[in-house]
Amino acid sequence: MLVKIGYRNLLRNKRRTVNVLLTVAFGTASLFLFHGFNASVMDLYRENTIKSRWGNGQINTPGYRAQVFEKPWEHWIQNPEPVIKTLSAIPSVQYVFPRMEFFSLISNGKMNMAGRGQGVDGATEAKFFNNMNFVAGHNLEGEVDGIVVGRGLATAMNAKIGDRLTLLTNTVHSSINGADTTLTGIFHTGIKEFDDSFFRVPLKLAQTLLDVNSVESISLGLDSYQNWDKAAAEIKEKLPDYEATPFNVLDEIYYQHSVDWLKSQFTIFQTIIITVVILGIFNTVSTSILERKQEIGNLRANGESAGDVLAMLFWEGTFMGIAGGLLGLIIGLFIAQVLLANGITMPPAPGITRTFHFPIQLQPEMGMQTFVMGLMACIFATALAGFKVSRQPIADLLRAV
Amino acid sequence: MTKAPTLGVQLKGIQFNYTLGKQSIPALRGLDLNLVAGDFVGVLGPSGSGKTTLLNLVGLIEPLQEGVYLWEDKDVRHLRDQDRNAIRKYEMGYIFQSFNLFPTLDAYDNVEFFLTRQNMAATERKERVEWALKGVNLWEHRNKRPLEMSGGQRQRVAIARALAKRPKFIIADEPTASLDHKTGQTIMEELAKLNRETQCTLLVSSHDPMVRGFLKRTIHLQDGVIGHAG
Repeated sequence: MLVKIGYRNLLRNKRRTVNVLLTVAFGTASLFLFHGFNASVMDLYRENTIKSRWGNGQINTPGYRAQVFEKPWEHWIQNPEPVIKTLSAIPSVQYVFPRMEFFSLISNGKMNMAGRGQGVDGATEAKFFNNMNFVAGHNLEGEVDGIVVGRGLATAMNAKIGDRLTLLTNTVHSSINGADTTLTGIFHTGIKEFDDSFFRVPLKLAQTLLDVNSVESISLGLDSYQNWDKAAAEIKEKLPDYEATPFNVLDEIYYQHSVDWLKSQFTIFQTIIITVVILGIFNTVSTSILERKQEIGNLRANGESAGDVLAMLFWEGTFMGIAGGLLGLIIGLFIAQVLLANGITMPPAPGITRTFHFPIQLQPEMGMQTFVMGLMACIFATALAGFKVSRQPIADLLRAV
Repeated sequence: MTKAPTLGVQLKGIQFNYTLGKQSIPALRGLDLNLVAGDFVGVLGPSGSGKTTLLNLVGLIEPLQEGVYLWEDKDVRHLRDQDRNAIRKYEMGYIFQSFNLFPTLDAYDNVEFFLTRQNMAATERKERVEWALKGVNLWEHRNKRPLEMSGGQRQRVAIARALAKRPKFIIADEPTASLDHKTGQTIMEELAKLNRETQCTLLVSSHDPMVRGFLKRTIHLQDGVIGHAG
């Protein structure tokens, strides 16, 4: 019967009920959309990090990443072929990218720039690293003397596709070595530090320049980022002499810090939205409860406890929360699917130089989460408003006008 | 009609003060009262004489400040909250001047509500609601909501609601005050019939001289003390 009264009470003052419903609905819709937007941002950050530079993770010799060595090449993967073969056999591993990094002078005959080179398997990498955003030319595709450079570096050197660029570096034996390359592509990952100093050449060319047969690291391209833990466990089992590091650790500064920052920001927004919703509902429900003091007094006079009265208000809050939450999800879906069907274009994020286009990614679990949040906010606000009244002396309640 | 169980209510040396800011205003001053089963007692007196305060005290709505109140030989001061709730829920019925019906429920549901809260079986509830509504001649109007009824009808629903609980004791605070003379008389007739047929104890407050003719005895309150009893 308390449930019935709770439900019927919603129909007493329709305008007030609509007010509460809309407060819950727009709160839920805001959270739902913000969740969706945030998920999209996180996904894009992740994809950008994985598919522009790091892959899903990287294999090195143990402790290599944590220490600085006088002769780092002595700690590289000396015999990469069996390691590559083992890694390729892991089911979730789609691509294996042996790599090495080195410092080099890069010259076009008119000027010399200091750059950081990566020796990569261009043809294989082109299949996976599709977020390098080539603004001119294309990725390395098996050219023996090809080179791709970051946009910042290319602009500084005024380099154009087809230009001959000379690399000058030291071999591991400290003698000077050099190689002539042909510019095949200019990339723009959006990460300024990377675009201003990095260039990529075929792995074989890099090995010749440094006079080594080893590789510094082996990056991995998985079928899904969610399979990293499984793959890492297998690597640990099959290649105990090597260390596997996921992309978010490799790129802690750009990716992990950005994600942590966005999550904190999201929590703050979420708290603000929920607080506004609770205050809005509290205000409206308080008025409604104050008008029903005599009725509550009657309930108490007839033996209902303060808890029973709160239970009745709980049901009112629950009905409004459910209705408002569902309405909020519908509003959220409508906005995402119809009004923002093309997503939102955002200016460059922290540490990135290009704009991003974000679709609103609404997922069922987010819908459930935001619905529960809206419902809880409604129940909490109703209970808060009813708590004091339910504990007032019965005679005072009955005397209320 | 079914007979109500017996009741014994004893009040001795009851004092009650309201606090307004720093002022303490006495509402009841050393009041003694005994009620026995089947009593139909009227508390008469002008506004502000302490009638409602007395009824609220007897009805365990106001806390006891000074004096002794024995409910069936139990000192109410020693009752726990849940015991008081249980007495109010199962043994007392209330009729208020302003009816205090649930506006969202029809007459039937209003009468049934507190029975539901007693966890009574559906068949017994139905039997009691029908009995109570027929007793106040409102069975035909059982599907009407309070706003669709006259003041007299609403007060009769309130009586039926109190009646359906089959309490030992019914407290009616100014049950005729919001009604015209003729309707007020009808309501008093209903209460007298209830008292006659069920031996339920009734304590009724009023400042309307009309009610006297229906009462078994009266208490005249003046400034919180009993002026004379008849």
